[in-house]
Amino acid sequence: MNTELKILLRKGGVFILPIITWMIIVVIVDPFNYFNFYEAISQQTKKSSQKLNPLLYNSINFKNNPTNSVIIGDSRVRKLPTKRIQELTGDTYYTLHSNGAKLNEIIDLFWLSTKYSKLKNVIIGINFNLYNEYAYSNRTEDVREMINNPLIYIFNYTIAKTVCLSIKNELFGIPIQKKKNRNDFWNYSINTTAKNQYSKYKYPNMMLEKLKKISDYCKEKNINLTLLIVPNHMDFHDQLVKYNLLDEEIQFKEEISSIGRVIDFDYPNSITNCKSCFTDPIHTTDSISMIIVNDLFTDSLVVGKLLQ
Amino acid sequence: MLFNSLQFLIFFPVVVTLFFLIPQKRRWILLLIASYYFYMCWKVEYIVLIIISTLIDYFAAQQMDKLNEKAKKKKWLYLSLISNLGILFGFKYFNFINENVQSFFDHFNVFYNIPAFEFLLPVGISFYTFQTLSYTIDVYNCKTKAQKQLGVFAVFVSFFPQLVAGPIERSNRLLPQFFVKHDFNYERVRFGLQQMMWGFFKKVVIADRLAIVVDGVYNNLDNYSGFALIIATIFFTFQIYCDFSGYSDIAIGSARVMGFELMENFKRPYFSKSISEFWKRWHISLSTWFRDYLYIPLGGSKVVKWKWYYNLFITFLVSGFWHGANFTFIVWGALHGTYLISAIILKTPKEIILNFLNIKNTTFHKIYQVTFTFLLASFAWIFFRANNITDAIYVITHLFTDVGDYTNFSVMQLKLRGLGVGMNDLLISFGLIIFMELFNLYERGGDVWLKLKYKPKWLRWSVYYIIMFGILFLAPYSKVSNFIYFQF
Repeated sequence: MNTELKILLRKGGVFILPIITWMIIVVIVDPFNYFNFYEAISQQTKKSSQKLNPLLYNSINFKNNPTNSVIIGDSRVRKLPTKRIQELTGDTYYTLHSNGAKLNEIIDLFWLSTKYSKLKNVIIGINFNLYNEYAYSNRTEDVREMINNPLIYIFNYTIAKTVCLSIKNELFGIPIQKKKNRNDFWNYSINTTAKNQYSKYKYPNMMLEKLKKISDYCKEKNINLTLLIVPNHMDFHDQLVKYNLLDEEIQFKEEISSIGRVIDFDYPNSITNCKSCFTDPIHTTDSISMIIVNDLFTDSLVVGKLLQ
Repeated sequence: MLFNSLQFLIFFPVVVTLFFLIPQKRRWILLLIASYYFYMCWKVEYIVLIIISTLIDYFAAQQMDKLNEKAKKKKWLYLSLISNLGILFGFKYFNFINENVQSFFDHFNVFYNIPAFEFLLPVGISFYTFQTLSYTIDVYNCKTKAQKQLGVFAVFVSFFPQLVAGPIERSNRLLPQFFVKHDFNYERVRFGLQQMMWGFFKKVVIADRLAIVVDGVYNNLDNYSGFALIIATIFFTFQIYCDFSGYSDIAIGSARVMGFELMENFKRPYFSKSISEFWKRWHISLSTWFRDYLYIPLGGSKVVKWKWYYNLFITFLVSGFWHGANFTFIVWGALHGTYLISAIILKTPKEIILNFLNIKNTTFHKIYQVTFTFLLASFAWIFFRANNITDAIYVITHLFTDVGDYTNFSVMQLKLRGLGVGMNDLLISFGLIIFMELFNLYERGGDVWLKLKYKPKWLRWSVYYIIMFGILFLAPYSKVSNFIYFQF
């Protein structure tokens, strides 16, 4: 072989060595169970680092273990007890959620789920704060690309961070996270989160059409579709008055009730005016989540209201 | 086939390996097959257009070579010009002109109904058409000899590294290189690969990252004003540079790996001190093409003043139209023509002021010149990027609205977050632009890779790895966009 070619091959080989090493590390650590070849890192450690991209974790997990029934939404639907739902209905539900998911992402997640499962039941968590043109994000596209192309997954900045965190946590233990002071976080949610969500509002032009497409698809495929408006504490809900958005909220509820079955928990009721029913102004406690599930899956609505 | 695709990652090493394995005499066959395959990966049928251009220009040149009389030669030149420009017109400009004629007649309620031409614009048509046209014009002017071997000429027209977006090569530079035996040379291959790597970095890391903001803003202008428009416009200024110069670097680098030297297409254009200097540093292969085949034949600067201005203006107007069938490109070209004419007219008063202030050639003066040229170029890019003239006017009239209003800034943040761009991403983007410009600044004293060759090993490898890991981890692969100049 030509000497100069030998030099190139040798140096080229050395050059790509770290890249190949990185590929092997990602496959072994596999923080999101993408490859599922080998379990070098415990699932608990992985769980601690998956927080960097729960959307990706949930999507891959759903792809690996698809179910016919899904709950799709933001962090507020995460706590809905799927075990209890199974007891009530006999169906296994998967919660396909993402922290801070926006409505367009929730819609994308619905279509993603149709790729991996023949759906029977779908619950979509949708609240007024998501029905805002400014509440837009586009993380599902990245997730879809990563699922479709392992190279995009391996050479991704977030994956790199997750791999490093997984290795660190496996070697040095999972750091105990300090619990946030409930009152401080409560006030932060009322003052800052509400301001971020409501101070800039623009009617989302395309969303209703996109939801209608989902509804039509569900009708065509005989999928039971339920839209769920989870409760927010009244302290949070009252911010709508401050930002002059009550009319828009009424319009939102009217519009989505034209799409299909909508169960509304976000109106003045025994849950929304009870501070101890919430871990923070927008996330209910486990016991309240249980009540929501009981309401949803039994024929008698106790707190929830069917919007028509 | 895209340079930034997995397909190319396999295609290129295979072609290079085969290139060095087969004898020199047969290499043109490999290059021709590879080039046609490269093009056909995009759309198989359109290879016919390249073949037609190749055959017409080959035979036209053969005939011109045999003839001594200019008048007889001219007929063959016209055949080449009409057929090549005819194809270009049909695919690129017909619909645009047809639509505008239609709306003109509609205005006067005159019935006019010529249906639109329902075909895709062939990728790179303006590039290979200009390359092959320069060949026939050169043969006509006896600047180059007609190529006897049809196969080699076909490779010249379709050489895959520069087929779809240049550099637009001249026959007397590129054609002879197909007859030279290129042995495998480690140093040359290394330089080629380094240049390709830098090109990939500029394209997939910088340009594609900036494209997210630029496309998000320019495609939804109603939602943005002030800061967002300023940022998107600045980002586009660098996006187009990184996108196109990145492509050129990959093209030049990949040709160099096989032993071919293509012309330099960019020389740090945003460090230009005037618009005329900018055009000596930006898309050099096109600007020299227009200089040699349009501006000089029109008379260039060796005519009366008004004619000189006219020649300049026409050249830039045509250059704008070359880019695309849209009024935005025409205005962009016209703006550059106007800049140049204004610079000539204002030269004397400017000199007087500079001498009076005694700042000529001072650092302050140079910084002012570079900044002012950059701003003029950025302003013109608004027309280049906008989807239509109305959008461009919207951008210009809303560039500074609400800039002092914090609410506007926070709305912009919210909307950009929606595009998947947080404040950190914006900072990374600005950081990457600074990194690239520092690299360019370092290049001023000579080729960076050549300088790096004499640096310690650890430094060289660190640079390689920073660029390589940047390509791997900082590129938004889920949002990879096409090369901008492919559409031309």
